[in-house]
Amino acid sequence: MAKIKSIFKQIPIVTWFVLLMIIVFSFCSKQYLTLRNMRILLQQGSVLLVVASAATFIIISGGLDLSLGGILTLSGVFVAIAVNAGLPIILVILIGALSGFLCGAFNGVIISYCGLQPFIVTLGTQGIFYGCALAATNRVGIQVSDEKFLTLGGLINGKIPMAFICCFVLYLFAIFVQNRTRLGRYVYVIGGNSEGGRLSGINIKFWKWLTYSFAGMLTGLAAVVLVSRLEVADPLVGSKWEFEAIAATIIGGTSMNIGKGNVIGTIIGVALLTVLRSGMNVIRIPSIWQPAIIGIVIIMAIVFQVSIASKEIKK
Amino acid sequence: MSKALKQNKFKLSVDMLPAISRLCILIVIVLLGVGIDSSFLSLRNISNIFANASILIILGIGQTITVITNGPDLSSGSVMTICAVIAAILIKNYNVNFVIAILIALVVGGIIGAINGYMIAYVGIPSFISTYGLQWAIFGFAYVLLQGYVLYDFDEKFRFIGNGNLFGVIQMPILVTLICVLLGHLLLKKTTLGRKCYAVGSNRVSASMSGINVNTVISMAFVISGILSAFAGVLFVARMNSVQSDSGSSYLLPVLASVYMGGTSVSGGEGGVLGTVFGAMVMTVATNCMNLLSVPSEWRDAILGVLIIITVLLDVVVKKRMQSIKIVSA
Amino acid sequence: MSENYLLEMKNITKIFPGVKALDNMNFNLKSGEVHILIGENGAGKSTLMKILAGAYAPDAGELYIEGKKVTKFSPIAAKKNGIGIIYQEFNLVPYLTVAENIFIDHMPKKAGFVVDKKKMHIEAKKLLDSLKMKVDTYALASSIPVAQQQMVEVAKALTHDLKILIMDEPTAALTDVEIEQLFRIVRELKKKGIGIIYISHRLQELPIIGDRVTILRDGKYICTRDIKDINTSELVKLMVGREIKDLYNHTRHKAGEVTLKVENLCSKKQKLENINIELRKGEIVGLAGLVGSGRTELARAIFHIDPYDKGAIYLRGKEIGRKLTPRQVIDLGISLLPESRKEQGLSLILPISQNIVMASLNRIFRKGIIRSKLEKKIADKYINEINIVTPSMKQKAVNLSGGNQQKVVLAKWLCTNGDVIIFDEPTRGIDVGAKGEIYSLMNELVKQGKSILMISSELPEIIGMSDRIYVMRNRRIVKEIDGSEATQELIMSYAMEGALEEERHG
Repeated sequence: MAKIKSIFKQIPIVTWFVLLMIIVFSFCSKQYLTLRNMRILLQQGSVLLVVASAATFIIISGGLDLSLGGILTLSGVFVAIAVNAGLPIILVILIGALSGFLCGAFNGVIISYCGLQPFIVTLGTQGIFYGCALAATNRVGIQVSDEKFLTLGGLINGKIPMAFICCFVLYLFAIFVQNRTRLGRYVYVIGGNSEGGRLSGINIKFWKWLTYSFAGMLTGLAAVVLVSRLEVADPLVGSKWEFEAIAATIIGGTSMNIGKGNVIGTIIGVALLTVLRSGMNVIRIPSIWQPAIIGIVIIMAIVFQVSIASKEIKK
Repeated sequence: MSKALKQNKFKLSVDMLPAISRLCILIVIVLLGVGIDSSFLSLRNISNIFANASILIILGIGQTITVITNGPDLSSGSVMTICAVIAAILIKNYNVNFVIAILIALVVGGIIGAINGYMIAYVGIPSFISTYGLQWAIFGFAYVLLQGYVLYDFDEKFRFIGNGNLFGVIQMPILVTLICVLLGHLLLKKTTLGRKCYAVGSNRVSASMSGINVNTVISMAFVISGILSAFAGVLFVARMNSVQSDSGSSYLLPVLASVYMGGTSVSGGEGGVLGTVFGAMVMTVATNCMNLLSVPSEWRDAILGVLIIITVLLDVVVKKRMQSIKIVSA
Repeated sequence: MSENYLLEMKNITKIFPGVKALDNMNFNLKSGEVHILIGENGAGKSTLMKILAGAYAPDAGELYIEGKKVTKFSPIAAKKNGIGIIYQEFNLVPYLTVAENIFIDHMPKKAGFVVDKKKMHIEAKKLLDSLKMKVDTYALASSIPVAQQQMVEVAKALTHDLKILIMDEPTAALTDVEIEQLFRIVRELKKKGIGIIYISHRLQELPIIGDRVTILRDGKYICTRDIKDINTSELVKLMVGREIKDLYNHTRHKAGEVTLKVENLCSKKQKLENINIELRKGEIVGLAGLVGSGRTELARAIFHIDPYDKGAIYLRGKEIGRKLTPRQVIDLGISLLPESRKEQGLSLILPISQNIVMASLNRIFRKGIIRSKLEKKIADKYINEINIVTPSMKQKAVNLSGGNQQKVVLAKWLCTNGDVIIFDEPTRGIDVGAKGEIYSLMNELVKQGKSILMISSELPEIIGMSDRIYVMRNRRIVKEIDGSEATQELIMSYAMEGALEEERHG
């Protein structure tokens, strides 16, 4: 009982805002609250859910990763190449995971072992990963059409949102890692009392490195779903992923720099972004205005969440 | 005269290591340039490089100020874009006098800077999150304003700033940029505000215990960066004679690279405008070389990324060595 | 005979740049005893603790645990040797559960990498129950009260086959009831044969919980006695009994009118209660007390960098508001040289000249323009007057020695032309020569009519320099002593709880 209560306390207030939005949107359009629309929403938010979960790990540990979008794109490219080369799906998934892991590991080495600030490092590697993706594809998206592979991310029979199911599984996996493995527990040490952890004999440098590597791996797996869902690995997609992943994390209640937060909450942040984006058309906001409004809402949500968090700390 | 008891020449040269290493990088790149094109070092080419670097430099000045004080202003590319768009629309669609249009653009830049300052200093959101977030909203607004169109073909008088030649010799963008550089440099080194920026950036606690109003200083730094970004936007339109809603998006990485390569420290409190100018020149020359060598554009971001990391890594390594040398000689 | 001792330190010496923290320290601990370690701030207790905990290696001397010589000094080695340490500010991870904190470095696993939560909580509960501690193993470490956090720390230490437990000021933040609970746990530990090194300033606790007591002073071992064989006044005498060399050269002036008056100052957040002090023109007032007694908090409240809730501060007779900013306070003439000069007093990467003018920018440079010639003139003036040793004023502050850094801080505040100057630990970490210089500067300042409030943990310094002394304990002023009557024992007896006869006999 106490466990449930403590989880409840961690549910951010933003949840009610999301529910409010859903109610408003369904009032404005009968089509909104339909199963069909819900499936579409789930598909749309699926990949972000995983990337945001990866970002959550890093932020709990007190770090930051601006290169997640680049990892997503680059891994997607490798995945697409693998699929088109006729490799079995298991191998494709492994390649996705491995490529993500290696990118994350690269970040981790420079951040954890060389001691550079995560912000600068990942800003740099963001460019490196995107650049590699662009180079590997000659600036042209790689199409995939392998039937079996496409089942991973598509809407099966128009009814089953596979992308969401796969990503939700990954999300659950992330929660599992957070709650049940040393890596998941140690990110709280790195973020909350890394010096104390070191004095207690924990190899902080290693676990920090592993945090970035793991986040990269998760992102690489998300890339598999993304490529399957979009049927293409597109290197020109642009870098909003990491921003939305970070935003979803913060809106979901994770704080920066104090080792507090939870992957569970991140789904709320993702829900906010997905519902917001989907509902813009419903309430007749011209598509011109949508990026601006989304940006504003995100900022306000972040300001809101940070203000609440800092008031709590002051107590 | 001060009692100069310790003749410590050695210490001085160790302090200068970062500057020396950067000078080496410049020499290498210049040699590369000369190797590719024999007229590389001609006055014409150099002033062309400087003119091309002008926008990067102006953005860099604002960035230098915020990095010294607190942290990077990741929204500067978007501020540049939206102010360029606002100025362009006012001039083109509403026939507003271009001087007034420019002023309005600068004010808008300042207001956005103030919003940044509020979120960072008063709410307490770390600068890279809040400026990074704001940029998306601002790009969104730029998109709204332009409705997807591209504006082009502006009035001669306005374009003079970006393209004209004063007395037929000095290129206008160079002049304008030099003025900004001068103002930026004077601000940082010769005004109390600039001094406070260094104080806040080097040790926020000590600055506040010295009676400096930290929140005001941080806000001012971002307001100035906003205004400079706006001005860069204006210059962009004047020079390129066109503007679209993502005009500024490719500047962020090169600007940050210029600032960090120019010697401004990641942790704040150190650095200056002149270093950034140098960094921007290196960036532009490097881009020039890459063009001449037909390096595909997809590698550019990658190379930039590597450059940034190496620069910062070198700085950390050098600092660590300096510290260990200091302990030995103490 | 070493085999009888659980722990034995022989001639342990530890030197840091500029100071000998431990000088031929001898110490031993018996199994099942509570051995109290007592000494002033800076006596060497925390260094001794840290060597045992593996944070430092000694420069000379030997350490034996159960007769075996210790060769490796690291946190992990210390744990392997059965040493556990509970720091004064605990070492818990705020957003992990109690059970996870207890098993932080060796969580029970199943299937290789999955943490066995069930087992962890069961073991944690067992551990806590065995000591009759009631803590919810599922609670987050940051959400439980301090007393329970401490129990978690004890449990954590116990998971490593604990032989020796070091406790640093364990009762500092506890209520009487919680202290009773803690003592009960300590007695349980004793029964298990664990040796406890107990560091405390609360003298009234010693006879209740302690078996033996060792006194340290200035890094040196003074003596060890059985608790029943020593009384409080002897203890205090041994703690402070040193010769006072006169570096101070302090002449008392006829004190002028009151410049600063603090009346009934209270701060809920800093727990200051009813502070009343006065500072007069031309005098140096010392503020003595143990670490945590509230002296720095009081200084910060006067300086308005921390808020206070009640009370008033008068400067030259006029009340200064509660809601002032530090800037306004500085302009009124109050200066504060903070305790940690590197973290709060200076910008280390900025040159000396910039540091010197930092608090006076608006006053010196009208219209906001820095005039280098003027800045140079001012910097030169102070570098000469205070004798700051540097090849140039452009030298970065980080390159200076501790003494010179402190002089730069002083120059910064002198530049503000204030007449009330608060010094918080002015000579900490500074060599003797520089200390003397700072003392003569302070003497010079009060000769000119300024008022100085000096916070210090060095008793000789307080006695040597102060015209009057306030002693603080537990966030209150407990005594005002005139300079001529002050002795180290007198000050220390007021500074420590339970040191005075009246207190112990109720």
